[in-house]
Order: sequence, then C-alpha cells, then structure tokens
Amino acid sequence: MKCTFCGRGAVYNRRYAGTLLCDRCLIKSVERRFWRAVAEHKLIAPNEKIAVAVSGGKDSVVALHLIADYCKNKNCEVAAVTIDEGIKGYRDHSLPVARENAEELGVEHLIVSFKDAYGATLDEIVKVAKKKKSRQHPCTYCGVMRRSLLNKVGRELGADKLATAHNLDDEAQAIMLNYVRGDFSRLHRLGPIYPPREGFVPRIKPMREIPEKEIALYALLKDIKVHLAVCPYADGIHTEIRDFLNDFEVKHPNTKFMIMRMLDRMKPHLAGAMPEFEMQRCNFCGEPTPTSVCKACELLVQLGLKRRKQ
Amino acid sequence: MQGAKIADLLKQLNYNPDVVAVRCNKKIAPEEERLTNGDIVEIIPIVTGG
Repeated sequence: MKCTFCGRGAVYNRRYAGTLLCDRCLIKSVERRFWRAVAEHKLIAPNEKIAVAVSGGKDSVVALHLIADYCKNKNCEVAAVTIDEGIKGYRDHSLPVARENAEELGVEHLIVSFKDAYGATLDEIVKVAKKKKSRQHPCTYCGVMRRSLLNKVGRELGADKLATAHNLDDEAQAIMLNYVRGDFSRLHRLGPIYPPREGFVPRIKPMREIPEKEIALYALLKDIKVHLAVCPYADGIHTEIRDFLNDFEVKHPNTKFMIMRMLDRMKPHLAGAMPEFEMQRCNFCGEPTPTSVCKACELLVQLGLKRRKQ
Repeated sequence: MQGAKIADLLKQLNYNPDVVAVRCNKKIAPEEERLTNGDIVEIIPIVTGG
C-alpha cells in the first residue's frame, strides 16, 4: 500500500477523496486544512489573544498544538482554558493531560470548575435532575453551562477569540441534530465563526475541515499525549446521529463534508432570516443573554440549585 | 485471518472503520493492509468526548 502522493508506505485510506496517505503526507494535510480554515475565514488575526478550550481529549489537544504553532509566527498570545465539569472517572483523568500539553507548549493554562462557578459538579447536578425527574439530558446542563463559563473566562482573560476544537464529524452531527429537532435558530448559527456580540467572545472553529479520525491519527503519529475516553453521560440522540452518520459515511464516502458544505452554501441566504434581538444581562449572574435570565441560571433555578430572586 | 484485510477483521468484530485507528505490529496501518499469521493487531477506539 503506497501513498498516492509520495510513494512511501500508506497509513491511511482517505476514502472520501480516493487517496492513500503516508504518515508525513497525512500530517501535512491536517496542518494545511487547519491553516486554510484560519486564512479563509480570517479566524485569527496578528497580535490577537486566543483562548483555546482544552479538555485533554484528542481534538482539543491537537487544536492547542496547531494554534500554538500558528500563533508563534503571528505574534499572538495563546491561553488554554479547561472546564472541570466534575465528572468522576472521566474529567479527572483528562485534566492532567490538558495540563501536561499546555506546559509542554509553554502556554498559560486556566482550570475553572462547575463547583466553583455554579456551586455544584455536573455529577451533583445530574443526581438532583434525576431526583426531580427532569426531562433534560445531562449534555444539556453540561453544554449550556460549559459554553457560558468558557465565554466568561475568555472575556475575563481579555481574549479576542475563543477557539473550540469542533471537527468535521461534530459539525455534521450538529447540523443533522438541528435538522431533526427543527431548530432553525441553532442551525443558522453554525459555521466556522460565531460573530461578535456584546458580552460574547467570538467563537472560532479552526478544526471543522478535519475528520475526527484524521485528528486521532495526527495525535498518534506525532506521539501527542491525549486522553481517549468516552464521557459516561454520552448517549441518546447525539450518539444515535453520530452512529448513523458513521455508518452512512462508510457506505457513501464524503457524506459528512457534503452535509457541512450544504450548510455553508445556504448560510448567506439565511442571513436576516432570524429576528435580531437586544442583548440583556442575566438577572442572576450578569452574563449576556437574549432573555432576562440566562439558560444556565434557568436550568439551575429549575433544579432548586439557585434561588429565584424575590 | 491469513491474507485477509484489516477491513475484514474490523467487519467481523463489528467495528466501523471511522471510529477506530489500527496498529499492525506497532505501526499505524490502513484498512486495506493484508494480515499475515503472527501479526499483532491493536484496535484503538478514537471516537471520544460527549
């Protein structure tokens, strides 16, 4: 099995492109896709401060390595931010990996916990939610609170951008999830950059052109230390869509790219399709929100983990 | 599995090739690589996170 480009021994069959790649060509290709996404969508400008959300998993650790390398030549400052949701047996294993990588790269590293920010770990929140027979999935609590906290920390750090490691698979899954839920509002916000709004650090996704498997191979081939584990709360519709897309991709290679390309082509036509709203400040925590109470506080109030204001 | 491809092994074990990386004799290998007797195959699940 020879590399299509250089004739060396192949390590990967890129089925969606009909090519075989050796270790060097795969590494180069992953880096090129990252640089191209950054350049094409103007994700990082010279002299900016970039906060990178790093869990310790392969995607975020590889993103941190690529961003740190890119920023060296652009006079940009990089800070890694890890949210410790408090998931026993999972996050406590990935945190040291995030720390080690930040240290190795000489990058400032902040760890912020749900416990400190919200008064409860995700494990505790899920326990209360079960007791109260809440219909919310643990991923809802985790996603809403993590996004809010990342934005707060990014803002406090003075970051110009907040980078997340969403890959091609994540993006295709999010598009399909919003389709099946009929969530137009969330669907039309997806893309390589979430534009600036008052109180929000613009979110960038420089990894969205790279399939999950290629990021994993990049980490393995470059011997980058990553935490490879599945969150104990991962199940339900997210995993069903992920499995469906992975099965479909094997039968019909290039499906994930086509799903993402379709949204990218539709996006300019969707501009202005949603009503604009004034940003307010949450009555509880002061974070920016389109309503009087932000989603994170609303969820905590529902569970009795935050008192409703008199 | 003499002569079979890694892809055949993954299929037999019910693994989707998009969710695993495979090392054959400690080296990352494509699914099309053919196996010979005595090969040591390591299947690494790569779909992680939430």
